[in-house]
Amino acid sequence: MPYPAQKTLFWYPEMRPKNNPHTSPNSKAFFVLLLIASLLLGGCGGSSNKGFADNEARLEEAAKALTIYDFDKAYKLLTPIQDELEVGTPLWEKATYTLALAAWHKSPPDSFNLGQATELLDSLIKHGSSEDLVATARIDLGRIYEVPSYPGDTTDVEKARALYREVIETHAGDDFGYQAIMRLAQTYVQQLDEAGLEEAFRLIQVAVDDYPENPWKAVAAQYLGDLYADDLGDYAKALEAYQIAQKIGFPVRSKADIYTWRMGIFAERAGQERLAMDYFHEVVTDFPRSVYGTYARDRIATYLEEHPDSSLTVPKIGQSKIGGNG
Amino acid sequence: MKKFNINYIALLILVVAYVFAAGRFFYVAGYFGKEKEHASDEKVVRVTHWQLEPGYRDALDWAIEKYNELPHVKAANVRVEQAAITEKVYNQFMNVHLISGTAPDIAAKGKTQLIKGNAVARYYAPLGVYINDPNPYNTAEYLDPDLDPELAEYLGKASWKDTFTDGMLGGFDEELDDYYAIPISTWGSMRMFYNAKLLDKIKTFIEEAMEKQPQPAWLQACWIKKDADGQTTGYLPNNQRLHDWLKTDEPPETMGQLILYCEATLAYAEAENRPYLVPVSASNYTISNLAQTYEASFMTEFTEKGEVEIGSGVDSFETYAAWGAGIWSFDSPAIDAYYQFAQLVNRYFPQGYLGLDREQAQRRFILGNAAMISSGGWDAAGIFAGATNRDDPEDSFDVIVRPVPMPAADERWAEYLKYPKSEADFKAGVPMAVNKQSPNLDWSLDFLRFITSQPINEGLNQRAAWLSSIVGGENVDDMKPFTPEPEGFPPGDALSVRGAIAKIDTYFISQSNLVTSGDISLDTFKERMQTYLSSPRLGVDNYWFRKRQEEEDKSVARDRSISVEGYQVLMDDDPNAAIRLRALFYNSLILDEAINIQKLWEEYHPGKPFPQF
Repeated sequence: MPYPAQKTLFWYPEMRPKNNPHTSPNSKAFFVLLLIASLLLGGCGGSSNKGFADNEARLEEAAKALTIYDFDKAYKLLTPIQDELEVGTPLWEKATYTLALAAWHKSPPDSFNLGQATELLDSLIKHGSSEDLVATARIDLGRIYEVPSYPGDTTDVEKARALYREVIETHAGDDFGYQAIMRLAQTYVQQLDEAGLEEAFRLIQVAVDDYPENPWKAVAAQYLGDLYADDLGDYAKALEAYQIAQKIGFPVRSKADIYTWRMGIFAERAGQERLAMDYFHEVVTDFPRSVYGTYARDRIATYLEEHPDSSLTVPKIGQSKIGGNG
Repeated sequence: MKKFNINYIALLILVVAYVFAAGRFFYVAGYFGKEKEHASDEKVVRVTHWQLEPGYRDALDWAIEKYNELPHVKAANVRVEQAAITEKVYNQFMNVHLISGTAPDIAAKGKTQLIKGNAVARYYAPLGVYINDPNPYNTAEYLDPDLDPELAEYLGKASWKDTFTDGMLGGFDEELDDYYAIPISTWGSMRMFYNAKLLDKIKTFIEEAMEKQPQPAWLQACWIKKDADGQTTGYLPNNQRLHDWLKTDEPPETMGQLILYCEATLAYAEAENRPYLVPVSASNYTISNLAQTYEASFMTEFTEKGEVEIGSGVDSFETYAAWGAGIWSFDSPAIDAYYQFAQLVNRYFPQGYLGLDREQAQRRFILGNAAMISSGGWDAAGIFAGATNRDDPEDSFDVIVRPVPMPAADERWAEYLKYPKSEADFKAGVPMAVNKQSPNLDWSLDFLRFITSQPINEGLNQRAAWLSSIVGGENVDDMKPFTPEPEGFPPGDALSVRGAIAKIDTYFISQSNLVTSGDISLDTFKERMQTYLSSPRLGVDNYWFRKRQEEEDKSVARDRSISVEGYQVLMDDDPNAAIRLRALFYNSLILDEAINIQKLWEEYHPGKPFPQF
């Protein structure tokens, strides 16, 4: 067998010919180089091992790392102390949740990391006393079961649904209840069949009709509106749902002009042309920086040609504020 | 004696190089990462950007100098320094320093492949919490006493965000629903630059040609008419509007006049024996390609059918997905019209223009060898200076800047080109982000407030010959034509035939260039595109597969952001994080696990299995 010397020198030592005068010193040299590199780079990773006054300080540092998406650092900081903390204490709860998020999101996502995140969240659900933390742990665990995190990751949508249902029962109407009911509905939408869609509509409608008004209702209402428009082509219902979201405030504030334009189109398609003009008017007057201003104005102008008796007027497109015009 | 192994020399060189590189890394890390140790304990706030255009660094130096002289800054022993980095290495520079935690305190956001999407939140500080208070440097003591009192009152009381001409949108991250940068300058919109001296000569040349009997063939070909087959030829009518325009000093006001002007330039160059004179100085720089400037306008007629969500526009994936579903085809009259136009405009470019770069195109215009060039406000200072400061004053000329003209209702292609692109949502540029790990966060913010105060921002941008990003900032006269025009169609509201996955985009661009230059016929182009896009491994099916994969990856990234924002809400009760969380959650509901892609596939190809590779 020809000897592919360079390729196999280090990676397949069992293939290395015995007594080759060149390989042995090179191998030694490589390991010397590796040692030097390890020593030099050793200083770079020391930050997570530095001493902390107490576990709280360490947790604080880990929380800070988590908020800047440094999941590895948060994981390294909390792993050594996790077993030392008294189960059920607030410190344990916070450390367990932080470590669970770090394990879930650290790279690379694999069965070990996700398994650890699952165990930690499970433990928090069993022993935690903070209702909010337990609720959020259930939703997070549901996501881990529901969404594949890496190629080949197995999912269990039924387990996820059970967890979301538990939160809906314990937190109906609060922020976590809204999140859980929408996550549950989403699993049904993703079935991509009629039965799933029906169940999704039923669930979100519950949130929109029965849950108290708070900013999360806008998320639910807009989602409902999107489903009515995209999946059923029911633009009248879509408009009703969007009206609720608009009243509370759209969740993505920067796109409010686009959503208002969309409401105008919904109204047009639902045969409520006069109402549509109101939304188009709003696009021009309330959002001078909207790129839909010209379209909205021209639609009003066309409407007025056909309905000259209307009390509407053609609004003017906003001028840019550059140069002090605003 | 044992024989010396020559490989040790190579090994030694390697070790020495490694030790040197590592040593240098730690030295640089120490330099950037910590406050530079000065005997006086001076705090240094570093600002990095890639704006190397003439005058910008000097202008920023002026603003920095003003800041460093402020009594409270001096008292705190703080000093701001700028380090401009060429855009060629900006990406690598920022990536290395952000990852190693040694990045400058303030850096222009963008130009980095790594710091995109959710990674922005990892490296840059969210600024939403700071922008609702008024800017303290807009109070009366810092403003010009002669400033309009109403404006002065507004600036003093308005939130920092509302003092920006774009409402600070240039620093807003839609995905994360928060502000991650403070934009300090505006470069304005794309415009046509005309050589005023040539304009005068060529308009006279047109007038003379119009008086000739018979008129020259090139001029007769410009008059719009229907031929025996009912096909439209020519570009504009010979009417009063044209005669009125010819009497003015104005550049072309309609697209028909623009084409007439280009045809006249070709004839003038021949008559004057000026082989290097061309109508349009184009290059491989997309902005200077006049045909592409109009491309989106030709592609607006399919939007309503191709748009998946109302108001979301049609991205390149949706464009090709709609092609696969038969919603539009390369046989559409609008596509034919666009390529007829592109082939025409191609005649106005220098020969081999795709081999020329942005600087070469500018030089041709500055040397008086092109009647016009299209570019943005960022190139204006260089073009103005080059055109007016020539060795021989006889060679200098004035530059007139105007928006790209649209066809009048009675001109060729008016049925396709109803609107220009709207510039209503212009964003201020040079977005300065604050390094999340900066030990000087407060001073960095203070400096950004200072340079975005009305008087300093006005001074900075007047010196740089850019547009102010602050309300009330007076701009230099030369820059006023770059003021964004809100009138027009939404820029995303057209087929995006460019910007697809690499395999499709590269093929489309190469074939499009060939048909535009006349190397292949339009029919060959259509046939080749049809074959390529229908090919499973190269075409649209592959695009579906890739897009779904991309959206699934984004779902995982979005979950990460939801976790972090949710964590901040839970642990810190942060109201801004709560707003970001709801925005991310909504996006997750409608996009999670590529549900939007799967639904679209079902709608376009009911019952067919999703492509797998």
